[in-house]
Amino acid sequence: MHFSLINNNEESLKFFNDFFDLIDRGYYKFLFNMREVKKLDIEVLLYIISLDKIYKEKINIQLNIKVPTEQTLKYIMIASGFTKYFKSNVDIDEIDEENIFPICDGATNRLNKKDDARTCADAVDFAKKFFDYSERKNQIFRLLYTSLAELMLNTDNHAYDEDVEDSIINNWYLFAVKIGDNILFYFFDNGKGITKTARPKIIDKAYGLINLEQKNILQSVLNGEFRSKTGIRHRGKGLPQINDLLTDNQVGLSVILTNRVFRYHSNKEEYQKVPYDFRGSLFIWTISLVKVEGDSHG
Amino acid sequence: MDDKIKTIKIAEEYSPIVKGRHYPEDGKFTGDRFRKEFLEPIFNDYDIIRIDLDDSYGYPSSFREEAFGGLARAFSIKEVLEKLEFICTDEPPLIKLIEDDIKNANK
Repeated sequence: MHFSLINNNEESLKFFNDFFDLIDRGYYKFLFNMREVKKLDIEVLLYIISLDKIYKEKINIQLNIKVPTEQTLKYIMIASGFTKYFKSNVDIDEIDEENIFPICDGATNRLNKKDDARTCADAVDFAKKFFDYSERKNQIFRLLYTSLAELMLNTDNHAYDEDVEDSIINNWYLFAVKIGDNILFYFFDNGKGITKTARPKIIDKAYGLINLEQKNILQSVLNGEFRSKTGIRHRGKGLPQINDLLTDNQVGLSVILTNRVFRYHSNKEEYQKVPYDFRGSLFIWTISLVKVEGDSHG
Repeated sequence: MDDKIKTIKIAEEYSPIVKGRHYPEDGKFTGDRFRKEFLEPIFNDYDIIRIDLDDSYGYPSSFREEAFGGLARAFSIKEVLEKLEFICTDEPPLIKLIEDDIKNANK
């Protein structure tokens, strides 16, 4: 199996939705047996960490993991920082810090009294070190910083039920890695998802429709055509700013997965329905290390 | 008579890593904190307040709107546009975005 929310979302999302169904039916002890998994993408690991934190905290679900037998996948789990969420005695020498920005999250920042803005700056510095000194003033880094900041703020402001106060449950996860001529960024927040937090009244007002397709809702929110859940008049600029990054020339490709919609952007945008609900919002993008033709940012 | 001018370099006097609207829930260096500590107390004491935006990691929209749009809500859009000047060689288009935040403060 290729365990991936992007490249094999039907099978992978079905797996997680089956897991949610079993929890609803009263099961509480689980073994994620990944021994037969042959390919594994990082976003799945971010999702599993978030599920473990939520359910452990909320209803004392026990989640055990059998790691893949495939050596490369074992390495990915350790090097990404995934394993440290489940084991305290991981040998950090195995983490390749030169090329990997290990998984971090908002709840751990709060616990360590680390300002999220510091994490945004650390991620920018991680990316900058792969560029020549002369290119480090490139606007892509300012866009990266402001987008990461807005993604984290969106998590805090919009992604959750108002009555949920638990800082472990309300969380974002960030990971980055340099592969070849690209730096890949993964950002996941475990909230309700973008299409569920767009203000229903504004949607109704704008379109006169109750059941807009999720594709249209996502597209409109990204274009700043209506406000997010805060509903305050001068707000709603965060996601359009994030979209500026995701559609920038220097960003080779980007994807957004939220609820039942998937957006892929590479020169032009494409939307797809996904067959199962995805709980949260996942953003993945690449920053090219190769100078882009017609790039005006330099 | 010469204008009374005050210059504030955000990256040096406040922080190069600003984020969010409200202190402390959105972070340490938020828009409302900058406005309340650096802008509102001196707003009536100077003819020109020059804001130097250089050498920062960037200015997220939430910070910008709360700092400068918020200032326009506290005083008036006209006064803020007349009194504030911006320096930004790192990202020149940012000045227009901030001016829009001020002009749209009540929208």
